[in-house]
Amino acid sequence: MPGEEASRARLPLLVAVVLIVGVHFAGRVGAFCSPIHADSYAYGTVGYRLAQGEVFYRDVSDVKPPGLYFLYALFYAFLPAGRVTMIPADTLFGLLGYWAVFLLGRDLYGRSVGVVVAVMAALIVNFFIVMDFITDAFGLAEAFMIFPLAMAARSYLRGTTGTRGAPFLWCGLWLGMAFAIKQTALPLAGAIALHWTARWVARQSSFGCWLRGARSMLVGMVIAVMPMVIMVVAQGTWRRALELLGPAAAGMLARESAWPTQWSYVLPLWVPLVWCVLAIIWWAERGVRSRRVASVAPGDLTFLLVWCAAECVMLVYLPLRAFHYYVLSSLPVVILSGAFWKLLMETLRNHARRVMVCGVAAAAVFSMAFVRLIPDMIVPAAIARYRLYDATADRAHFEKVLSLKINTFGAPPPPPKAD
Amino acid sequence: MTGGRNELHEDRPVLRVVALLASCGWIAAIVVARRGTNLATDDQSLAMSVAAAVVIGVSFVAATLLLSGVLLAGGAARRRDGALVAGILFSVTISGLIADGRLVAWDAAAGFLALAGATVVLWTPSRWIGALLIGAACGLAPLCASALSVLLLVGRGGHRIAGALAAVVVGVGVCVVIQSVTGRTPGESLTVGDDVMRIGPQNLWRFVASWLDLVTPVLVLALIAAADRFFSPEAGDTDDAASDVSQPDGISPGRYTGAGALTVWLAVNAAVALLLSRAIVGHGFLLVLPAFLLAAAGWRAVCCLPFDRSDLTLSLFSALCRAMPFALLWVPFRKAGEIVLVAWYGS
Repeated sequence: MPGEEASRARLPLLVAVVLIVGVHFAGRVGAFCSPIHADSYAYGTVGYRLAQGEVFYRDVSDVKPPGLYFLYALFYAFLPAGRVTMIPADTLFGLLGYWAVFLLGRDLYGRSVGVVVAVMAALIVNFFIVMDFITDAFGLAEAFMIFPLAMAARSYLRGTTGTRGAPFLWCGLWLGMAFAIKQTALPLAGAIALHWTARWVARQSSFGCWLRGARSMLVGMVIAVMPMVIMVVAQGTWRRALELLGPAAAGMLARESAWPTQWSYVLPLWVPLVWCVLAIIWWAERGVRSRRVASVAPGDLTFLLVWCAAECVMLVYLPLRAFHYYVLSSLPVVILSGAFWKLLMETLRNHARRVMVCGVAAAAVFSMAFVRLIPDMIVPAAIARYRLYDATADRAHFEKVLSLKINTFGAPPPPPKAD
Repeated sequence: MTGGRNELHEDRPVLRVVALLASCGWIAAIVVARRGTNLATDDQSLAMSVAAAVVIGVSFVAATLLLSGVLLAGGAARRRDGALVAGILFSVTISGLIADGRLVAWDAAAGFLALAGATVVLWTPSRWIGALLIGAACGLAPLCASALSVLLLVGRGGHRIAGALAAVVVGVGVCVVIQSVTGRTPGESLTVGDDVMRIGPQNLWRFVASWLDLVTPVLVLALIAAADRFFSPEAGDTDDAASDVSQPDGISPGRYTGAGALTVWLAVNAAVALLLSRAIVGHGFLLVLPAFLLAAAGWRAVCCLPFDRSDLTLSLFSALCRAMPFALLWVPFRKAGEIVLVAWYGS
């Protein structure tokens, strides 16, 4: 009956939403209650000081763009000091991020696979956030960048398919938003530039076509960062900003490497990587046998592969082997892994219905057997940290960092003033 | 070519006998090794008596033979393959649980009786014998009470309720006899060690997770069988042996056949596990009993995935799916192997 079928179709979506919210909650509790007192206090105190009237890049500086700090300042302008103030913002951007990943997965592979991809993204992101051993990964830039980056990728792919509504302009806007938070939006920007150019060459399109797309993206980026540029120019700190965002930030690259040296560092990616490998083999086999792949566009897959490669290159140059760096790097892997499910269902559709049911069930159940490792690590860590959390000590540390009036975070100190 | 193929085209009795002997021998070795390592420790509260060792060993060897289809007379090669795989999975999984050190003789005996009772109810006409066996299992371990769902779901209305009532009566009787002879109360069968009672929620999660690692090989096949039962078209049920059984007096099997009833039993146990999570640590074996019975159906479902020369990736996927249950056996196998090595080098 249609009503029963509609209820059945809604049930997996409801289960997925509950899973995502549960994983997000456990992840954020684990990160917020982390015994490591580091980055989240830095971000919080800088945001609070900006809300009190201090000037970024003059009274306090960082090698990162000001977007995240201005967002923090916006909240501290209305809410009290302390890390608790940022919980709503962190939660909002987290949930928007999963939703954006779902939208991208839905556009590429359909609604069901989009749900699977979103659930995997939630598991992976929160694993890296909880299990980071370098810093307390609450309220970090990466958590706020998932949403704009996923939307940028989505807009770009919609642009390549000729969707109406100025998708390339939106792509630029989202990219600009991401850049305003942290420079680690660079791999996606580079992947888009490379893919758009390679696509133009491969299709032998007109230069005007390439130029229109590139121009729209560039205009969107400029519009997104313009408010911050204006503010920095108006407060007279644009030279210091350029110096920090340019040479100083570049100088941090290649200090060390974020490239994972053990498989256990990327444990949550084991299952998606197997899906990716199977998907690529499937797609390649169909290409060799000259079979049309109805469900997954070659352009989409190649873009995701280029994005993966760009993120890998970025990881090599990032200055610390910290798990929170893997949050953004894992996005293209998770999204690409959805191709496996799409190809699996497309292939099994040619067989008896029982074969399709058994195939999808086997893939899902065997994957869950390994994906179970993720909540098995996140949840006990979150429970243990919550039980040890001391709100008074948290607030006291926040006040202490505030009172230190640190001038630079992660940036070299300003040059001494001439006497 | 898109159709599936049977894994073993010919029946190879030698292979089956060797596999069964190896499985039963492995269980016996683990029981001996476990008893040996317990005796060597200072904490004699964990020591396994000779009687307990015998009960555990005999119960699990008998269960292995039962699950591996020794009682199957005839039937399709695919069904015999599924039964053999179920027997092998049972023996290795149970060896891991024995090595874990928390299996008690009462649970072993109750588990075997519940497995035998459910097998008899589902796949033979002897419903009342099955009810007797399930009742005895409930009397030994109240956690087996969820097996009554099999009696309530399979068969005609009147026979279902009568069978369940008979099982309850037998269970109560066995309970009373045991209590009068040994002094063991039903509540005692739900107790866990003091060390488990003291652990906090985060370590309880880890305990349960490590326990789940041991039983994952059978759980995955059970879940696949459940999905096959509920989402495949009716034609899929022809693989279910319950539909082959000619019921006396033309009694229809009812809405639930074998895999369906076992899935409901497993779901009830999952709910119990969520409510009594600490009980998993000591008595989890009883909660996964239906999974052992579903493993054969799950293997048959996995074997319906095709090998296709025109789609090598699909063939690779099918091969991976067949290999996965055995790959997952590594965890319980390693746990049991460690105990054997400790006992061997410690003696």
